[in-house]
Amino acid sequence: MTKLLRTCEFTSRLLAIGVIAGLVFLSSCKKDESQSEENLLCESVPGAGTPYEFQKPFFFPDPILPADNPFTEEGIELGRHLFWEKKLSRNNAVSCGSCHFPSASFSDNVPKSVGLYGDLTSRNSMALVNMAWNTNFFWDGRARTLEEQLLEPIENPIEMDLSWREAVDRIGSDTAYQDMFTAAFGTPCVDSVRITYAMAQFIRTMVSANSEFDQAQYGPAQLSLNEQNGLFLFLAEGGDPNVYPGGQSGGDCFHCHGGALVLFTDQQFHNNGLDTVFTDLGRALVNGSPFSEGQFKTPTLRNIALSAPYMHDGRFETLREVVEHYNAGGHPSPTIDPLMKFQGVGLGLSEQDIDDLVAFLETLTDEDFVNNPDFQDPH
Amino acid sequence: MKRFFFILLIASLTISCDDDESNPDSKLFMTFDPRFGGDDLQMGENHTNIHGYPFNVSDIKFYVSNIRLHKTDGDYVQLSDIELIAMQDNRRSIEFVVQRGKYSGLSYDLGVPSAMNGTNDPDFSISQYPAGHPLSEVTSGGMYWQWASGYRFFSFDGRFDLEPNSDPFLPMSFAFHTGTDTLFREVGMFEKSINIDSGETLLFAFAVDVDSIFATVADTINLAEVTSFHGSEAQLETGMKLANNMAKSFVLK
Repeated sequence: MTKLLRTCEFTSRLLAIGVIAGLVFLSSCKKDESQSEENLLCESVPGAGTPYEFQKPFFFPDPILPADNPFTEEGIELGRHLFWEKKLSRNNAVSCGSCHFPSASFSDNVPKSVGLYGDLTSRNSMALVNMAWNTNFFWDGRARTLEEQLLEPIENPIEMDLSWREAVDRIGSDTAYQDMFTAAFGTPCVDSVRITYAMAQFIRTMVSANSEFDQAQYGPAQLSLNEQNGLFLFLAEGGDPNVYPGGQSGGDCFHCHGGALVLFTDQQFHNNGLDTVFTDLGRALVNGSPFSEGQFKTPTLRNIALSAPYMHDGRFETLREVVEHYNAGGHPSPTIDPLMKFQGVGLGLSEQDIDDLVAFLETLTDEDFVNNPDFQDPH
Repeated sequence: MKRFFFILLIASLTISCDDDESNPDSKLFMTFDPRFGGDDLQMGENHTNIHGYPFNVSDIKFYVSNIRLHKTDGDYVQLSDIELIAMQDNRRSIEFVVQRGKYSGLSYDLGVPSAMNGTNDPDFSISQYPAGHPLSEVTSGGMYWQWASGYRFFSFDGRFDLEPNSDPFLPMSFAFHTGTDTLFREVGMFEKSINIDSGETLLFAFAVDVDSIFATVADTINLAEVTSFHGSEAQLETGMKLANNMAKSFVLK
């Protein structure tokens, strides 16, 4: 018994020594790692800041929120300051908000945006509406998360032309920002992850769900007869039923812009018949497939009346021109979407139908959203 | 006390050394790939169908529901209530964890079961589905139809011509979208004798045979006669043919 105990004691001592040695080894590994990355990434401090509970509108689906970037009051406020921060462009000329401003539904009103040196970007600025529900980003869907999307524009030589190293130095040397980073993330450390995460938190709070349409569909308000007809046309199949079985002489908008009448996008990529010869390959630039040439993301229609001009290249100046494009049937190309069923013959909507569809689209404007003081420039 | 810790230590060491045997779960994959004329079909690629019409498929999307792994004793395990397959999005495989045991095959339904589709439920709202759910508007790939008729079950879209045409652009389009309880179909059973012991990966690889959507022995969809179905009551006969053929298009490879 004594011998056994001694053996046990010996073994456990040996194990204890082993465990301690292991811990020392592990901690020394960790130290080396953090030292080598010290200048690149901050240590993450989970739970810093005051938790913010994201409230979804009752008729909306659950958003996809990343577990590694929880909302905090301080994170959102920091994100707002960064979104409107001109120091994030090399010559201090533009912020994110320069091409994504409230009155244009956090887009702008030119076909292609003007970057920090006055050069044009390659595509139309996308409106920042209900990004918490968005499942892919950019017209070609090349970013899968908002955080990933936010890594691009600052370094883009046409848009803001600032290296992340320089961006981190500029923000990190500002004492006001040091305090805000401490409040949001626990330490004053600044890096590209913290900058994009804070901006993503802010952008996700930008929820639009109180348009005239919402007040009628989910509340007691009433749409006008013309707007109601526009909604009917939006949800109706295209084509004269005497010629196309199943046709309802409608606008056939819902296939891509959502029959649920909530998000107004299917989050997919389509070639909607803009061109026969493509000058921008769109989705094919991302997935390399020739069958995706000319495909672009379906944008939401919420606040669409505010974000003219339209399409990925801003070619249409008004919503009426957009509806007329669909009514004409679009231009043939190998990848044109089968849901564009009427090349050459068109949908056959009357002038009044077109007006009514536009009137319906205008009911998707949400004044509370664009005027929300929480989203405006704090500088 | 010391002895207790000792046992605890040894036990923990033993457990950590025994990783291989402590994981009895096996993985089962279901994959779905479109096929035409016995070969893999690429979205957008032109072929000639059984009626001699050049055509291409731009997308195939469908809901598989009540996925049942049948045991040899007659019982079954429900692996999932509902999943969405979307070809153009490359959402083509589903992964399950399955327990050890003896199984005889797999079956499932094609479509959204009535209770999940909101059929006859005035309080139904698609906002009830959580983030990431195949029926959530966010991740359903536009499969929600409109408030009156619920979700599309099987969506088959493409372009065609009624005469020989070697141009990549085919001038006409087809769009066949089934839905509603009447067009809900059972698929399978696909028999496969499996004895799951531990840690294996099992594969049920299905081809979606586009040939069968156009024509089976019983039902034919001739593009010269019909190019679309979107649930209209007036076209129910077309809908039934489509639903029957779509259910028969699944082949275990």
